[in-house]
Formats: sequence, C-alpha cells, structure tokens
Amino acid sequence: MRRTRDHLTSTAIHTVLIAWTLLALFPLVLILINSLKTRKAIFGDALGLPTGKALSFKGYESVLTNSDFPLFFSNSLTVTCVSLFFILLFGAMAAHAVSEYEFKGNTLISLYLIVGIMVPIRLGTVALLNLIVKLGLTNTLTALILVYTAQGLPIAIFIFSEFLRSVSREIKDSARIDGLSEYRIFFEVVLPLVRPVIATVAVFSMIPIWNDLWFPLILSPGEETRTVTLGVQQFIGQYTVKWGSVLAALSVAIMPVLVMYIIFSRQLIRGITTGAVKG
Amino acid sequence: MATLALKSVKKAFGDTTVIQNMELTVENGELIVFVGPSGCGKSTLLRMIAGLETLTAGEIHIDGERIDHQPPSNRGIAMVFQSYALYPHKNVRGNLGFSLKHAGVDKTEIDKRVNVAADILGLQDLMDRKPRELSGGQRQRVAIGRAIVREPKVFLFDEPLSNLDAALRVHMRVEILKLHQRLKNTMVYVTHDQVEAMTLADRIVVFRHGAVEQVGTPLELYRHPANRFVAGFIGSPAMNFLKAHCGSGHVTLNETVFCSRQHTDGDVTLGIRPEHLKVDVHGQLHGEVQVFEHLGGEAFVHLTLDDGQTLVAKLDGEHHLRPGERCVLGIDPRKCHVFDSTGLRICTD
Amino acid sequence: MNTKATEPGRTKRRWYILVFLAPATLIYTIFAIYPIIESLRLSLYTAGDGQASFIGIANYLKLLGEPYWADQFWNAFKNNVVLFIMHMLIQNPIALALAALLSIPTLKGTAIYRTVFFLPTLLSVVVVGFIWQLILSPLWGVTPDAMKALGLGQWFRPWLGLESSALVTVTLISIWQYVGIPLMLFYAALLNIPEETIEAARIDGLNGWWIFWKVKLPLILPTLGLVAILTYIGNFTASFDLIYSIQGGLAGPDFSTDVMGTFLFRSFFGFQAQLGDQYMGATVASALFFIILVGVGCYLFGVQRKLQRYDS
Repeated sequence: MRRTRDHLTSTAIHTVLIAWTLLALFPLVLILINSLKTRKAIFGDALGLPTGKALSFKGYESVLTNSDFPLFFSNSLTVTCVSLFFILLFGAMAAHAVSEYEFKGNTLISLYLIVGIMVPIRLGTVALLNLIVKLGLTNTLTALILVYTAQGLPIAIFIFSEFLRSVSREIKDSARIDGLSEYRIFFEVVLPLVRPVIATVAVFSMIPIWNDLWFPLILSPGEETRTVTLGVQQFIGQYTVKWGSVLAALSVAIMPVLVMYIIFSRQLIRGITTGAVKG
Repeated sequence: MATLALKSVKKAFGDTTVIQNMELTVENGELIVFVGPSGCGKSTLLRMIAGLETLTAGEIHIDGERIDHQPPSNRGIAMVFQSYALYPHKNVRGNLGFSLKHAGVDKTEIDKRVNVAADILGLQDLMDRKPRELSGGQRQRVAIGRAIVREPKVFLFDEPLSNLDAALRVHMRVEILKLHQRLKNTMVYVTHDQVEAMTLADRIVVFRHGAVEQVGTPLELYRHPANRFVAGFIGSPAMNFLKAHCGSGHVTLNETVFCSRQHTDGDVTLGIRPEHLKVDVHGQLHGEVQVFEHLGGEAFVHLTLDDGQTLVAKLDGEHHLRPGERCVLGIDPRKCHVFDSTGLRICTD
Repeated sequence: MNTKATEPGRTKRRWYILVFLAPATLIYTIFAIYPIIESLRLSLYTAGDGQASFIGIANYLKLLGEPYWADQFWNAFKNNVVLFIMHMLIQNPIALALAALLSIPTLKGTAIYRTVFFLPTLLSVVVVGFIWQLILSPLWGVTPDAMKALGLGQWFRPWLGLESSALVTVTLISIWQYVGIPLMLFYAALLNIPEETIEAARIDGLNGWWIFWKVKLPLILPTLGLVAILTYIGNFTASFDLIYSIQGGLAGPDFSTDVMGTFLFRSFFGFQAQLGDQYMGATVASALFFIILVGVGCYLFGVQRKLQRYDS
C-alpha cells in the first residue's frame, strides 16, 4: 500500500518537474531548430526539425557576414575574463588583509567594502559616465572592465573573507617560520587555499557581466567595443524582418554559453550551492 | 641542543594581560611541557618563543643569544602544529624540504636531511604522496619531519596530538618520547592533556590565567602540588577535595579525626587521590555507593558520604559493590594533602 | 576560531596590509562609491548658462510635482511595484516549490533537473527577450497554433503589443528567466537542513507535506528574507535590460512597461523626442537610491529583529 502511494507521489513530482523542464527548454530548442530552416519552413512548420528541404544556413551566413559577431564575442570574452581576473585577485588580496591581520580600522574597511553588495552600481551611472568621459575612456573595453571589477568586488570580498576566516592560521604561521614574506605567503599559501570558493565567486560575478546590456550601451556602444549582448540587441533591431538571420543571431549568442555551461555545470552548481549556504 | 631562557616575559592584548611576568630556564636537551586549561596562555607563550607573537615586555634567549627581536626563521626554532599545517599542493618530500629550499640550501644537503628525517619517522614509502592521501598519524609524522629537517636548536610542539583519535594519540606519544631520546634536543611541548604532560615531560610548567602555578618534575607535581589547582589538574581521575576543619593541630572531617598536623585553625580543604583510598572497616569515611564502575582490572566507586560530600575511589578489580550499599573507606594520612582557604597547600609531612 | 596574527617585527610598518587592500579599495571607491555620491550631489544642481548651479531640492520637487516628470515617475514606480509583487507572488513560490521537490532525498535525476532549471538564467536577457517576442508574435504562429490545439484559440492576443497586457507579459518572461536564482538559494538552504532534524520529525509522525510546512520552511526563513531583498533590488535595477530589449527605450506600448530603469535611462540619455538632462537623470537615480535604501533598511531591521528573537 505504501509502495504504490510512494509511486504515485513520485510520478506526480516528476510530472511537475518535467513540466517545468519543458517550459524551460522549449523556447531554446525552438530557436535552435528554426535557426537552421528556410523561411518557408520556419513559418510553415515551426515545430518540425530542420531536415531535407527545410535545412538552410542562410540565417547563419547573414549573421556572420553582416555583423561582427566574432569581434563582439571576443569583446565580451575579454571584458568578462579580465574583469573576473581582477575581481578574483584584488578581492582575494583585500579579503586576506581583512581576515588575517589586526589593524586599526579593520572592521570599518570590511564593512565599507561589503556594503557594495546591497548598493547597485547603476545608480551612479550619470556621474560614472562623466568620469569615464573625463578620463577619455569612452568606447573602450577598459571602461567596462573597471566598472565591472568595481561591481564584482564586494561580493567577492565577502565570500572570500568568510571562507578565509574559517581557515586555520597555522599553515601561514608555518610559512612564516620557514621565512616567507607576507607577499609570498599570500601567493603561495593563501591563494591555493581559496580554490574551493573561486568557483562560487566566479559564478556570481561572471553572469551579470556577460549578460549586461546597460553599461555596454552607455559606456561603449561603438562598433569596435560592442559586446555580444549589445551586438545581438542592435542586430535584431536592424533585421527584425529577416527571421532566419534573427534566429541565427540568437543561436550564435546562446551557443557559447550553452557549451560552457554543459561543460562546467557540475562545478557551477556546486559553486552556487556552497556559496549560497553561507549567505 | 640549546638552553632557552625567558626573562620577565609579559604579554598583554590591550588592557588584558595574558602572560604575567614569566621567568623560566629550560636546560639543554630538556623536554619541558606547558600544561593548563584552555585560555591559560600556554599557546600564546609558545608562539612568542616562535616569534609569531610579539612580547609586551621581557626577553627571550636561546643559547644565551637574545632572539625576541628576530623573525621566526632566524631564531633556530622549528614548530609542529596541531593541524599539521602541511602544504596541500606539495608531496611529502616537497613538504619536508620546503623551508631549506626556500633558504637556498644546497640540493645535496637538502636531500641528505630529508632522507634522515624520513628514516627516523618511517616515511620512506610515503615520499611521493600528497597530504590528502595520508592518514592523520602520517601527516603528523610529516609535520614532525619538517621540523627535524631544519635542525633547530629548540623544537616547539603546539598540541600536536589533539587532532588524533585516542588510540593513535597513545602511540604517537611514545613515538615522540623515543624521538626525544634519540635526538636529545631541547623541546617545548604545549598540551592541555595532563596524561601527555606526565608521560613526556622532564619538567612540567602548570599555567593558569597567564601565570605559572608550579614548575617541577612530574613526580614532584604529583606528590607535592603547590596548590589546589595543580593538585586537581594532575592525576586522573582527579583528586577528591573535601571540606574539613582544622583545630588545635587536628584536621577533622565532621566528627572524625584522622590526621594531626600543626597549623592555623580554620576551614581547610582536604585532598585525597582516588588511588589512595582503600576499603577499610576501620576507616574514617562512611558513605553510600551511588555509582560503581568496573573496568576489569580496576574499579571506580562514587560515594556519597554521610555529611553529603561526594568522592571517587579507585579500587582493584576484585571489589564488587552495588548502588545503595554502605561502604567504609580508609586513607593513609601520609598521602593526603591539606589546602588552606586560598587554595595553598599547607602541609608537608 | 581564527584570531588574527600579529607578525614579528611589529615595530616595522606593515606595508603589505596597504598593498593588499589598495587595488580593491581604489577601484571600488572610484568606480562604485564615488559615482553614487556624485550622482546624489548632481541631483542638487541644474544646468544654467553653461555652469552648474546649485538649486537644492528643486529637482526633486520637479520630479514629483511637474506633470511631465511626475507622470512618468509615478507610472514607472507603479509598474515597478507591480513587477515586484508579481515576482514575489509567482517567481519565488515557484522557485520554492521546485527547490522543495528537488531537495527530496530519494528523488532521481536531480542533477539533470538542476542543470536545466538554471539554464534560462544564464542566457543573455536580450536573447531571452527576443526569443519570447518571437514565440508570442502573431506573425509566426507558434503560440496561436499551440493554443488552437488546446482549444483556447480565441484567447490569443498579441500581448506584448497591447497596453493592457504588456507589463504582465514582460513580467512573466522575466520570471521565466530568473526563477533559477531563488531556486538555487532555496535549494542550498534546504540542503543545509540536517538529516536528523527531518528524521526526528518523521518519527514524530509528520509526513512529507507537513514536514515542509512545519519544519523546513521555518528553518529557511533567513533565505526567504534574502531572496525577498534581492528580488526587490533586482527589480528596481535589472528590469531595465529586459524591457529595453523587448519594448525599447520608450517602454512601449505607450509607457505601459516603463520602469524606473528605463525612466532613468531616458532622463539622462534622452530618447527620440525627450532631451537628456543629466541633472534630472541624477535626480531620478537618487530617488531610486532612496527607494532601494528604504527596502534594504526594512530588510536589515527585520533581520535584526528576527535574530534577536532567535537569541532570546
């Protein structure tokens, strides 16, 4: 009796979960399969697979020739990776200083650095734009990198310092006895120690940077410095009628994220769940 | 091989004094144990000797040379930590040789010292393993090996066995003792476990609240504790403390007079170790058995005396008592201790 | 557990502390804190004869009083509130339900579900916006056909293009995308509940449903609070991206999807007929800042109270 009741509950649960899975995946699948179809097939048979007569690469051709997607992609990649590097490095340095050493103003500085989590950086855009203009950094990837680094530092510092506080100081003391300078201790002992949380920080930082529309639009809308997100948005704006191209553009935008995600999904999820536990 | 001298060493964090005016001389080749409850300052003192904490006042000398202004790597010390503190990304060989490599020592010399340490500690088969592939006991041996390789003047141990399970702890204790016999180095060993202190030490320093309660050999501390704290800290199970009264040269417990000393009158505390109590029909302590623990070779009886006080007695395994039974215990007057109202021991016989 | 170390040679200056702190503090101060403070300051000024002149809170009065600004402000604010309420009432309960189901220990395939559920969140907002625009478009026919198949054919409307339904539709799209984040947070919190607590409840006779309501839910209240405040902050700031991609800077149709973010963008950047005014833009940003501050303040105050209650 219990067994069948469990079976029923289990089926019910899976039904709900599968329903949401379909809801989550369906739009993506639809876009992907239709990006490879002829215009006739897109409209005639929206749900069908792109086989035989329906298959067409015209959409992708137009995307890759009429726009600078490789450039946009490399811009996004550069901005995201470099920002991430600085966030991780400077964030770990600051977190180390705050959690390891006793000095006047320690609590104050850590509060100051962490308050940024609750304060959205966008609110200062007006002054930020003025500053970027004054520094002569409009339409540069540098401007984006600086802004994203500033945006990502608070949560990185928070997560790193929480983690470092729980690490025993004995291994650092041992290195001191061995004669290492504080700098070497940071790079050779502390940094390897924070590896478990780097994934968490990376996840929390990378997604908002890659997907951001606001700052590329405002700070670096120029052709040379466009990111993928902005590029897709502009492209779609221009080509709204050409469905094949539009669908192909969307697929091109999705593809790298999809691929990266499938490869790294386990670490990503683990990173989020461990990090979120502390929060 | 070196002497260690602490002169008027004091340590304060802001307004809180953690170490009070410490004077101590550790002889060449001595294994001295700092023991005391948590927070008594023993670890802080060890870290000050190592150079990981600064001194608020005083001096520390190793082999007559003042070292308290030197960084840790220049003091001629090596330290073994409670959590082993091995570098997780290096293998055993790398961990052992790390400090020498960093100091720029010649490669042949490094290999020689590393192999010697590996030999002493039986690590030869583990040289290529990373710390995460080692058991707790193996990691501890690597930590000790790392200290040996530095060929220090003084070894420092900071509760090295606390993270091991009970059986392993007993085993490693013997290993450390053998190590000391072999290397004959001066060693300072910190622990909160009085069994470790008693078995390892040439001399014990008992700490409480940053001050030294007593310094002496294990036997001295056992037989002639300076005060109630040391008496209760050393020895397991702990000494029994009973309220008693001293008047006209007699120490009395309720109405029962049992030992005569010559002292000031007043309320006193009588200390008797569980192992010094015997079942004796003519004994002075009458009471009812509360709990009886039989361990095979020995037994512990928890007694509630007629005046309400409780005590524990250690008897041999031949005894069998049951809760609720009446029991009479006797004491050897030469084996008991009397403490005045401040806790100070007041008699020698 | 880990008390801070005092290193030897304390009399020497510990430059390394400064070195470690400097890069992060500098970048953060210059590019995050300073702009916000400066924006607040700018809101007290206006352009006058080429020089910025101090006018006190006149801009704020203009924002709330002058019809041209006030209408847009209150419209955007109202829309944001609708957005927030819908997210709280739809997105978060769905996320909680999914997380609760996923955290059932005997469930198979949780890894796959987890991976799939988080996927939409990873996608660019632009992509998501446009995908749904296509799907819901009357021109394509995917949705009308699907609805016809379910017998609901006559209910189809071009929702994104209608003033009455645009905001709700956009909100649902946003919910579709962002369910993943509260889902992960709830999931992690639920996993954090010790097995023994659940087992004790089971021995006490509670079944799965009641265990959720009486045991799990109370234990993840802090996470509920965190999700609420993150939803609040995100709604007022991040909503721009989706709406700008789908409906453009004018947040059509006819401002029905205008939110504080798009309003802010228009204020200082200008859009078509509306000229940009950086001082009013700063004012809008500051107003947004205060709105968020109020929310965060309530959250922190609420957390304080809750912590005190648990302690006593």
